[in-house]
Amino acid sequence: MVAKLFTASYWAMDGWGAYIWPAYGITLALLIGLTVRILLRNQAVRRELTQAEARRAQIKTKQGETKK
Amino acid sequence: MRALFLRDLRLALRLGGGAGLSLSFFFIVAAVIGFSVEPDPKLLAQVGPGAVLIATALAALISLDRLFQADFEDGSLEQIALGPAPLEAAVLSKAAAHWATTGLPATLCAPLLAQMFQVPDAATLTLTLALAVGAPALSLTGAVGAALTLGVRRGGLLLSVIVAPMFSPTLILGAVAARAAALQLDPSSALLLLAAITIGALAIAPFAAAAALRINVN
Amino acid sequence: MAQNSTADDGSARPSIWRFANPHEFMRLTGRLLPWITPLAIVTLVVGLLWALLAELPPHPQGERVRIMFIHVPAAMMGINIYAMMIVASLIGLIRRHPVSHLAAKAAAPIGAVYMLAALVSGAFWGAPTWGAWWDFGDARLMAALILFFFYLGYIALWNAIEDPTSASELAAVLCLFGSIFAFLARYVSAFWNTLHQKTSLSAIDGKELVDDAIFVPLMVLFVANYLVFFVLLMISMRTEIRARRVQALRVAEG
Repeated sequence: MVAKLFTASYWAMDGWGAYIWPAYGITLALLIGLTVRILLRNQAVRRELTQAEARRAQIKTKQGETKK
Repeated sequence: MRALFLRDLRLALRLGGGAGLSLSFFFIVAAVIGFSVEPDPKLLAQVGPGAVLIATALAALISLDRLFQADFEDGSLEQIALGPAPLEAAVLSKAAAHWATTGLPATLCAPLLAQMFQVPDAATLTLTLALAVGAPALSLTGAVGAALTLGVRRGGLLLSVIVAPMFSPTLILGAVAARAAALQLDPSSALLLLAAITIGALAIAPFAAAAALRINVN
Repeated sequence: MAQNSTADDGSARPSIWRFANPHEFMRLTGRLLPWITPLAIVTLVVGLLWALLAELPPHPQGERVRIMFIHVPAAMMGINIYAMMIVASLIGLIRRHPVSHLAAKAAAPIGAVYMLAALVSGAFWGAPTWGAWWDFGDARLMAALILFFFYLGYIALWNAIEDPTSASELAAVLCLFGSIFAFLARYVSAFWNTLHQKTSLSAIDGKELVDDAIFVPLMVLFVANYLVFFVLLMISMRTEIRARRVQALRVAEG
């Protein structure tokens, strides 16, 4: 079945290739783009969270020191 | 309640030039559509109902973001929300005032505009009927959009993006009705559905808009 | 906010509502993601390869049927995600669970992308089949377009409002009110058919689905897309919850 991939006639899809491949391509591009955007935002927010919690930990230790 | 409506009507008429300016906008948009297509009589006759519908929708859209703004800014919206009259009634009142200054003049001038586009008489009558029945839905759904975007600075564009898709059933049915009449078919089912949509909007929109107003005011 | 519902004898029964608690939600999704993600990817790849490489039964549309493997699942996701948003918005408003609102917020971009993919793939199917890339007279196409616009407006509203609580409640109101028009548009657009007798341009007829060569890869892709949606939704929601925590910490810092 996979050997088909190496024949030009497969990619032409009986002449409909110009419609079929962009349909698949654009859809996958949209989904991949969405996924990338979600993952990048996830990373950015995780970084912000660790930074914010580090600052909070710093403030708490400083408060602990001044109490002594 | 009646006092509220009269006050809203007076305000709507005064603010931003009110009905006169809205009417001018209505004619200008229709004219612009007329300029933008080839002045072939057959083409114009087919485009005419669409031009009138578009002009009505845009005229309604443009004046929506001020619907609750003034009362929101001077605090009277909060008063109304806390007051004895239900907020839904206030929404209805404002939507009615909005219709009186945009949808109603458009409906009354629709025959004149249709004549300019050489729309056949049967279609003109049906179009005017469709506007009479459907334009209130534009004001009602517009009120929901205006209530949702109340707190957004320069929310006019956002308002349009949210509200314009909600206009589509009314616009589509208006176009169908006019076209049916032009083809000498029966437009009554489209007109009936238009009426049903407006009645549905009357029943639901005030509650949705009031809910949005309460969220924004608190 | 009660996390467990109380049974008649006073003992606490764990209820599904406990996942409305952000903490519990993070724990649950943290355990689910590591195995659902590879499952989703594998199912998607298998489904796509099957769709592209499998031998198709003889059909008047020939190879173009392969576009259906993209178009039909995408359209289904676009619609079902909106339905999920309606439910999430309703639950968020009635039970006041912030996580429910976040679910709707996170789902919207995914639904919008699927809807756009459905519109685009539909256009690529329609061009060789009807000779037109677009048809304003096609009722389902118009309904899909209006639904796509609703997605855009919903996302824009979330982004425009600063206060998170107001944003979530206003977006929920918009979602619920807008759903009425989404349903309406579907039936109203069909009115043009009463004027011009139009042959029903249904993308797929029922009889095609009976054939296994089409049915099986289609089902695989349905499952795959649902899994992909869950994965993306969970990741997005975790991000939102973390973002809320960042905001809370910033406010506490002063």
